[in-house]
Amino acid sequence: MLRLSRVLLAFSLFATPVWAVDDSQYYIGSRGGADLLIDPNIHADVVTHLPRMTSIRVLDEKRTWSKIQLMESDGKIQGWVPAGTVVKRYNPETAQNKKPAMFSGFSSWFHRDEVNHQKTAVLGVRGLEDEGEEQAGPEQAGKKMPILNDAEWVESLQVSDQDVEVFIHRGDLNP
Amino acid sequence: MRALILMLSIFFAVPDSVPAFSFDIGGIGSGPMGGNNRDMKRMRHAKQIYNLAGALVPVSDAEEITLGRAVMKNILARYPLDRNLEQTYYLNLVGTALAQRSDRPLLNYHVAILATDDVNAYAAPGGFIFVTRGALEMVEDEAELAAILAHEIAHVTERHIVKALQQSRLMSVGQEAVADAFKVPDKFFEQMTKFATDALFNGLKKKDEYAADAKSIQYLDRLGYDSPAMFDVLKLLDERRKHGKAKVLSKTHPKPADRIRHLKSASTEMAVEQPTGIRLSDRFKHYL
Repeated sequence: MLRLSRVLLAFSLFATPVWAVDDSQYYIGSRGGADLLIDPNIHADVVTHLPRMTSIRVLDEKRTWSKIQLMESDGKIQGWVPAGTVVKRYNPETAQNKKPAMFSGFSSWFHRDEVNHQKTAVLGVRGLEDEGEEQAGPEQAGKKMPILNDAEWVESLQVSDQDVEVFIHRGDLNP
Repeated sequence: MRALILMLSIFFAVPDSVPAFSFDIGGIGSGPMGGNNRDMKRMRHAKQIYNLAGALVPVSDAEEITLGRAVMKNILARYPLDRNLEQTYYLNLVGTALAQRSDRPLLNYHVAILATDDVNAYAAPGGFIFVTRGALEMVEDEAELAAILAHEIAHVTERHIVKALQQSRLMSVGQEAVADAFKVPDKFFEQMTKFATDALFNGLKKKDEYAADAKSIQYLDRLGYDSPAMFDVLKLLDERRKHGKAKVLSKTHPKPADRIRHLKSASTEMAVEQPTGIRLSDRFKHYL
């Protein structure tokens, strides 16, 4: 009885109204899925196990935990999962707006080179890459960057969500 | 009756902000009632731990990043930076992909290369990660590179340096003084930076290293890399250590054999999925 009341109390304390949600689409991205827990605590009761690719809505975030709601349950099934298991569905329009300055002009060269590399590997013949188009290499990209001291340079190192998505996809890793 | 249950519920509800270890009071109560000197000592010790934990000064994400920025400068003062943009970009892609599946996915992570042959990697608070050229030359595929980065990311997600700082005597100055030091860096901020830098260069607690190894397996698995790559890195590290190519790391980390032993037991407890076998050695060799 006491345990039940604690669970109910904890659940009510953490409950978030449905209208406070971010409508972005998220899903469970970890390969083994994730346990939906009643509280943001590894020892909390398990509501259910969510398989990978389950569509969810993120209601709240608390340190390393995300409070989520199952899209299919009309908001009836809610709980907490480790934040690392939640993945934002790739949206090219929003991702393109987040181009970082450091690798601007460089990421396309990088990925282009990777495509050429794959093509060469498949054909087994060197020199069959697209020719004639001048591509910005690291040196050219470097010239576009402002002169930064070492610490500033490190802090400016950031890759865009889009580049990470492409990178994951090409490596056949978990989306 | 309901009111009583509610009151009891509130009394027993554990606030989220209280760290778990604040309740680790060394098995108090397990001894005989009535108590002897030993029990009294344990009681006092437990009380000290509880008080210390209760008085932990919070460090926000923003403050952690400020501290990390200062620690990063100390790392860069010790080692030259390797500004190979293509390789740095590749490292940032692997690191960011892992970090997005980590327990702190919202933090901005930055990965850079240090121009030294010694095999090592560092993670400053706030997500500033450094891998030495020696470490990059040691690993043989992308999964092994990811294992090194996942280990460092785990130090950040678990806030190992921040926790060490929070538990240090430095923090006895109180919450206000600490908050002020982060706002306007002063001599006390320098002391905190020195503490964090020393922790980084002299080595974290062994249990923190074991915990980071275990977490790295989880992060590799979440992204789909072959998780045994972490074991392979430790074996490679052992070889390098024997040849004197990981001098600093040998002083600051537990022996690779001990780490492998701990990792084996941790991975059985974690029930990690079957290894994927994804090593991506071609892509790795293309960029590094």
